[in-house]
Amino acid sequence: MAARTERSVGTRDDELLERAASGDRDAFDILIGPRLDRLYRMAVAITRSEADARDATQDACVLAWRELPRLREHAKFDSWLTQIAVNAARGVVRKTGRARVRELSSDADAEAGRARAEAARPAETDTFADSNAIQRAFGRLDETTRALLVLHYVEGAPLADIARATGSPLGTVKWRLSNARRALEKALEAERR
Amino acid sequence: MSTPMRLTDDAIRLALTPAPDIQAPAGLADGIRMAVAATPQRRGSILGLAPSPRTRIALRLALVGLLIVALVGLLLFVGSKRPPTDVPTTSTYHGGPERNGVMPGPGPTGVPSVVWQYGALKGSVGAWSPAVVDGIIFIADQGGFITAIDEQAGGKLWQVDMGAPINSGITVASGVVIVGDDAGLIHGLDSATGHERWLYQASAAVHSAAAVVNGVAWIGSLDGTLYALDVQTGTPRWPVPVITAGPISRAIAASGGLVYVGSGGAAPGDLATLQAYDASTGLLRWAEPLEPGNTSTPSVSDGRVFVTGGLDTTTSLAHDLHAFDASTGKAAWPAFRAPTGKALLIGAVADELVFAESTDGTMYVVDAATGSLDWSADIHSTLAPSAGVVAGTIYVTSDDRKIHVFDIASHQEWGGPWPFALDGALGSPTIVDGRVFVGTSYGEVFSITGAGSPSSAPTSP
Repeated sequence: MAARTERSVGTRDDELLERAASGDRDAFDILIGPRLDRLYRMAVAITRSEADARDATQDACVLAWRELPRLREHAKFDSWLTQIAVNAARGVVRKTGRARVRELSSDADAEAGRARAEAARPAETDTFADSNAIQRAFGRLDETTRALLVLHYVEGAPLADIARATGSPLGTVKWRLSNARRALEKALEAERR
Repeated sequence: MSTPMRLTDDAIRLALTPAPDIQAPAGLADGIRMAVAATPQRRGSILGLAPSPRTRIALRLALVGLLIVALVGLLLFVGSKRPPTDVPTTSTYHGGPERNGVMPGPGPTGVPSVVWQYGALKGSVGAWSPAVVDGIIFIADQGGFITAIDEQAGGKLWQVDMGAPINSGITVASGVVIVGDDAGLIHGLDSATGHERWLYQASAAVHSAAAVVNGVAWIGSLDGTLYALDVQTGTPRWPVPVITAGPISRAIAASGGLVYVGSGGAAPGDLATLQAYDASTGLLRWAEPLEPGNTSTPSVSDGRVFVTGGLDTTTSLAHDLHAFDASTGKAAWPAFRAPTGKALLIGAVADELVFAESTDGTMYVVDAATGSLDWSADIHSTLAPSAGVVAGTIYVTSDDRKIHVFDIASHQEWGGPWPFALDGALGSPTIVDGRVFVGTSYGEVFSITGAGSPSSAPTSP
């Protein structure tokens, strides 16, 4: 089978898209509602900051609203929205210029992280420390590299979808992804020195 | 002191995935609502006015009309500027889908010289030849890039990274560049821009070259699967690909509505077979087993198909030259083998002769009708030479890094300024428009021309 994995929207979404594209703000609200958590979590993954993720998600949604009448293929709404959200998150990272380690350092979040690490690999006691090291290393990377790693490892997006979302040829995406991983390894080495 | 950790996919995923309880903060949806309320949508309408549906339809119709007028004008303009349609074209490896090495030509004569040298490929070109279509050279390299070069000036038109090494030959058909890579992806690129038109995931690495028949590209993968894909869309012609007898690592040949596939491997026990499929149905027409081992790219000429089979353990190449009736698969003559028993590759089939190049450094010229040796010549090559034939002349690219030229009628090698030396191991030549185009193991492409009277060549060595 050809590697085509375009995520399509349902009939209900199609109607909402029609209405939203014609200026119906309530329809847009209903459309965005179920997608908001996903967009926000993706922005958190890229920016490593709740405040920045909030800004990025809002920027992305407003931009999507403004540009929606120009989206011709409604079936591509989700990948289009992802592209906008990724670009917004990259934009916030670039603007703030902060290579900061994730701000999500509340006790509750630390507990959640520890619990996830233990659930994932109960035999490895240092998984949580490793995750923190990787997160700090990730914070050293530029916004484009971060976005690529998040799309691939967190969102699980197929390479063809990432190519569409980033506007790059597939080969370039594969090459960049390989470089991104190498950059993360280097950053991790630097982090652990 | 911390111990080094292994950066696995799971470790990255685990570290980068936000905790599942992280949700959009309560106020975010309200903030978006307020911001959206204050933001007008971009309509793209004339002067910012929102036209009525009727006006919108009228505007669209008017726009369509204008586009048609503009398109007709553009076509008329382009048509008046286009070069003649008989511009020489070699759209795929070894001269065309018959893979017999016969080139449109003319070839260079007189004193050879390099017209241009393009040195910015990203890897060796291997044994493949460049495709030359409408004044553009298309070439793939093992660094994973496809490059389009202006035939006259040698300048890069575009270069695209496929992301994985390419050991596949390039084919250009109907404006689409088709090539496979080591990741098993078959790419369809726009020949004008290099942009991806389509992508098809094969089940294994692709080291073959596509043959195009009636808008369908036939190409094989190393696990022995043969694919038939629509050139324009990459859509499979049939729901299930053809599973052949063994690995396909050679170019697919096509002629007279049949598609020829040589499958075999480099291991002593690998089955080697030559198969012919009906291009319109995908059904097997005939199959002939060869001695176990490897095969060459099949070459079709004058109703016969030629292929080498068997295994020379020194080079992992095949050593027996076979000829079959192209329609029925009936053997035309017993296999020909070099006196040294070394590997044979089919350099070209032309003028009722098979030019079989051996890794013993000799080109054996075999009668295509009888399989008997007609004549032979030293080509100084112990690896994998290749060749192209133009009007009674054969140009051989040899691993002595030279282009040797022979006059077929007199069996004489051109002397004087020939053979012409280049840098690096040479790939297969493409000969059009008075030039030889050839890529090298150093990631370079050369355009070679000849100057002066053709009567200065050939001369006796």
